[in-house]
Amino acid sequence: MSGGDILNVGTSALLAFQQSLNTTGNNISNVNTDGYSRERVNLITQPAVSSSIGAIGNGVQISDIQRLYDDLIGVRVNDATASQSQAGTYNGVAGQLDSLLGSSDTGLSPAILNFFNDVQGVANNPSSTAQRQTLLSDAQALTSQFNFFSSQLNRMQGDINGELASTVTDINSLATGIADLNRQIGSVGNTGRGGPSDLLDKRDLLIQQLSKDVAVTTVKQSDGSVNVFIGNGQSLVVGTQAQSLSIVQNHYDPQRSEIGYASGGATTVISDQLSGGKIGGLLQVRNEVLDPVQNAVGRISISLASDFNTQHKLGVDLNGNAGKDFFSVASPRVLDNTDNTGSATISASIVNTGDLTASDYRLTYDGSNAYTLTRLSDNQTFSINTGGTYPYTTDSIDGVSLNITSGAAVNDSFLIQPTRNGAKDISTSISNPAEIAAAAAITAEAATSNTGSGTVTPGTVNSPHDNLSLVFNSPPTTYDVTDVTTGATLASGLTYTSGGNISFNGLTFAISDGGTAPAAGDTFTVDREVTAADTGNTGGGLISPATVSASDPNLTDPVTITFNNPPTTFSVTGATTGSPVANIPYTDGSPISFNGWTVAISGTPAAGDTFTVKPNTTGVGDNRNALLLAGIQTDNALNGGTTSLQDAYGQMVTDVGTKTHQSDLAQQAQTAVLNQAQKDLQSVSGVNLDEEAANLVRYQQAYQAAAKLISVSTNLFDTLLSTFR
Amino acid sequence: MRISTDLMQQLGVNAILDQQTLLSKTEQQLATGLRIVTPADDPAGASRVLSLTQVSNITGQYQNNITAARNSLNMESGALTGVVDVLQRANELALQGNSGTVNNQGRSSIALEVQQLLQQAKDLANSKDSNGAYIFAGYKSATQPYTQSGSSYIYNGDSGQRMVQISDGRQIAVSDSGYNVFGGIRNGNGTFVAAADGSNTGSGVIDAGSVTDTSSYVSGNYKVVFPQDTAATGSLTFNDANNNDSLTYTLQINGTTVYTVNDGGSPINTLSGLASQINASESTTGVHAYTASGKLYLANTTPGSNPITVTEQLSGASDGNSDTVSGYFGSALTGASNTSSTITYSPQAATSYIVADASNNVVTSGSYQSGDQIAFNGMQVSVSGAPQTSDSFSIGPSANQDIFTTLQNLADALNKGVTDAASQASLNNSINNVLSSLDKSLNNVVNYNAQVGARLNALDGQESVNTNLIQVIEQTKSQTQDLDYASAASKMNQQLVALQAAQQSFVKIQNLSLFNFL
Repeated sequence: MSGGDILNVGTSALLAFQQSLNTTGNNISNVNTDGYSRERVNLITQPAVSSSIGAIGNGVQISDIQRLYDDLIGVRVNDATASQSQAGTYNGVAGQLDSLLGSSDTGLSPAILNFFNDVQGVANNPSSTAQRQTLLSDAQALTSQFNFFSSQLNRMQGDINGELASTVTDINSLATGIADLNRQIGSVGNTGRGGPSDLLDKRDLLIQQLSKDVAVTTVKQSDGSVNVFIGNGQSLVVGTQAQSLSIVQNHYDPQRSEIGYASGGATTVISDQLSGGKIGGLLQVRNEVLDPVQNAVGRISISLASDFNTQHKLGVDLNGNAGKDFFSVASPRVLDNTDNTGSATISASIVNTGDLTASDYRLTYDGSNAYTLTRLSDNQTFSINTGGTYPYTTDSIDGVSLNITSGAAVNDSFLIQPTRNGAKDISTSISNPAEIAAAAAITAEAATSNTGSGTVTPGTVNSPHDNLSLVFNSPPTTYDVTDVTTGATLASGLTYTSGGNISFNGLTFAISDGGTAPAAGDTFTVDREVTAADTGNTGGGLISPATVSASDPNLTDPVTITFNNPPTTFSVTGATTGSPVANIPYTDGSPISFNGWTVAISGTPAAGDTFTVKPNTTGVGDNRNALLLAGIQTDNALNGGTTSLQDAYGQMVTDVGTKTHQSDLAQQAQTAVLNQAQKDLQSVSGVNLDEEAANLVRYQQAYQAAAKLISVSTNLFDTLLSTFR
Repeated sequence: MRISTDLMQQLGVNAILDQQTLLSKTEQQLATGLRIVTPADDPAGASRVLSLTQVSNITGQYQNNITAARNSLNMESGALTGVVDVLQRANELALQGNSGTVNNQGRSSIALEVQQLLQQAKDLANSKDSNGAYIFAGYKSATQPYTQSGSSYIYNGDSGQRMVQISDGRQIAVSDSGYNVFGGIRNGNGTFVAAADGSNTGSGVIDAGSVTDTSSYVSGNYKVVFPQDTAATGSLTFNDANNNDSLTYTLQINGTTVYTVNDGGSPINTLSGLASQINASESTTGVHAYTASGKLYLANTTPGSNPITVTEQLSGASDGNSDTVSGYFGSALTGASNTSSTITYSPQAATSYIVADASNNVVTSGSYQSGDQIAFNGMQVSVSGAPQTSDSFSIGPSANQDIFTTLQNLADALNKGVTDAASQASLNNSINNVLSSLDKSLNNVVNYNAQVGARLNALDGQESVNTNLIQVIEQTKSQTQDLDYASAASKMNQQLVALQAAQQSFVKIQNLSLFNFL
């Protein structure tokens, strides 16, 4: 034992505690530094000197300065950050739409209600120009509300494009930063057993920030660097190399941004593979909320406009002219894939709004004149074979007919969005109040010279929305057609031709042999534009979907109904459709239908009595068509005759509301998970000032004691010196 | 567990932020009074509110429609009540004019009043609503429904009837075609119309008659004729004593030869044969012969005071002695002296009647008694008074006659002066027809007025149903979307307390630091 030893021991302690105090100070000073992990000085004893009396302690030394951090918890924090950020981003966008739909100023519901109230107003007073002007103004308000809604949705799509771009920039700069830190960490190496903790802190913080943008997986390398992967394993950072993401245009829609990833000299779109973070949230809300809402609103707009037009054109306006299109209706949007090598062009038109869905469709050319159409909402496929005839027009598929020209190359594809532009492109077509067709196109009159007591209803114009029933006779070479809605026989004994077009009430469809011909008694129905074969049919007849077109071309031809002698039958002159037209048995009150109109004669007509059906040219007080127009409001016009406009709108609002609500809950849940993970990480890495204060006191006291040791050592030395003085 | 100072701070701040978020939500609810501020607050509820709002809004529109419908119907009812008054007054005037106590001058002043009523009826039929639309023009509301063209009235509207939607699936008519109200009224008794020939000279008056048996009723044009009885027989015998003459019998009606037959020929030997021979020259003679119950009847085709002369003649007698012929009409003609004999039937009170159809076939006949029912082919009429021979009354299917024509007929009838029994009967016949038309018209208008009243009642009923519906819907809507202020206020208090607690504990905890004690 010697005084020098004490001095050495004291000095070692002094240095050790000085460092401890220093580290404590560093912890205290970084208490508010993001990503800082607290540090701890680990002390061990200096190697002792062995002696006969045992090991003689040699003081203390610093083993390492430890960075307190748990990689596993770090990963949890990153994952939770990505999930929370995704839910938050989703909720932010969905919430905007939710408020838009819920507000009485921006929602579509009030505009629709006002519009139809005005239609009733015109029905109450069909000759009033003021009422008609109000209807026109509110029609314009309705269409601009649709346009406004569409522009808001487009703005949100644009916002998403912008946010994707800025997020990609952010990701790229974070990736570069991480790669750079990897390099620095590599070059410092694992000098000191704790490693370069400030660099590690910075890098882990960058990774956590990156997780806010997109979900990542990290793999730690032996040299302390970390490789970062996104999506399905696309590397973002490998060692010191950072890979950059880019914004590329959607292959179909140049207005739509996708995330591109450069590999092997080509840039591939990896949007579908990315999840988590802002990117994940933006892409998800775009697919799950914005696109469907845009389609759903478009479908409501198209259905409203097109049904209104159909009915409007069945009427006549104040000047006695046939009704025109009231609204201009959007056309389906067809987008070519930029990778297509062929020259085929596709156009689409809506032929039956009752069958429309809110889905998008993809058309792919398989070669040999075969196309596959895929409904993207449920991946249901439809095969189309053009048979080599171009341009080829398909039957109605979900209410849409495609026109395909020749020149497609195998694997060429097209994106068809039947309803996407519905709300954007709707507008009011007529501007003159007199052009509102409130009156029906035809009117029926009993001749004043009639001697019988027969009376005739003013008549109605058959609508494409009427339900039809078509029954095959025995033998099944002919069939009869009945309008189920009005109860009138439209035609009887028509000759059946497989695949031949059958047109009634502005509906066109075809019945064809499917293996076997239709059998006697087989029934086919059209229910609110939706065609079906009766399940009890014994023949193999197939019915095609119906196409809605113009009304009967002979609608306004003057027709005379004359009662024969005896007046138990009547003959019809001037009618060009239906058969027979002579000697039709008379039933009191039963409907009589020709040329696309239906009237009913009741009472007891006398022989020679005549009734005429003629164009309604001066019926300015007629509101028959206005009443039918008003009925569109509550008519089950969508989803094959099951859903009204309001129902469809309500479903959409509920859908957005539910998704917003769910994302709100998800955000709360993910925030709780993130908080817990951060709490766990903080419990390892976080600085607690009280703890540091205690350490400060502890190390100060130890330091003071060590100093005392040196002082004692000095005293000892002095004592020794004074002994020899 | 270790808690880092930073985390502790953050947790404290988060707690405050969370409380503020909740508080702001409650504040928003209180400010708007709504529980559902955006659909996300209650997606199902929001959708229900949307559909409830639609139902409430549409029902509100139905209420507006009902008000509009009520205005239209009140307007129509007013006009119809006016027409009822006109018709009732016209009825009184017709009865006055029909009575024998009023003289010609009285009748023409009654006719003046009838003209006023006619003008009033026309004005009512051409009524306009507050928008200037004709209410009785059907759909052609800009076209004046009734205009006059010469002596007839023309309906220019159509048979349209405007409907108004007053609830889902229920429409109510708010107008009636003017033709149905004013024009399409069957004259006569509704099935057939009986009228006196304008040239009748007797005082016979026919009633409106009625259908007694609809199954045997045969519609058609008939006439009731009061013919001249004759004693004609269906046989003619030449008595040529020496069989050396070429005797010829000639029958003349009103001086026109209608039949000749020679001795040795085969004379007509039935009454019907004789009648057809007479009728073959009907257009020249103006006389029609009927056979019924074994008798031959003659009647002028046009009633009047002209007598019918029947002249029988025998010619060709050369020896002159005992050549005789007994004529169809009973004249004893002898070849020597009396070669011709004339019977003159002057108009006189009729004693029998014949009903003939459009082809002049006799349907029934009988002896005439004033007021007796004449029944045939499922119908019956009665003639009273004293018809002269050759007087006739027509019976034909009813036709449509408008109210204005009826009133005009009344005025015309009243303006014809009464000079004798015949003109009195003509007046009575005309007015009888007018009366039955007025009766039909009144029934028709009253019926329409009743329908309008029933529609107004239906509107009232539907209005209260709609009001209740709106109330229930608004209540449900309120329950779904509106805020319960009491619970919201108490929630807000709780949240305020929680926020205060969070803030206070934050301050307290942040003040706690070991450094404070060093």
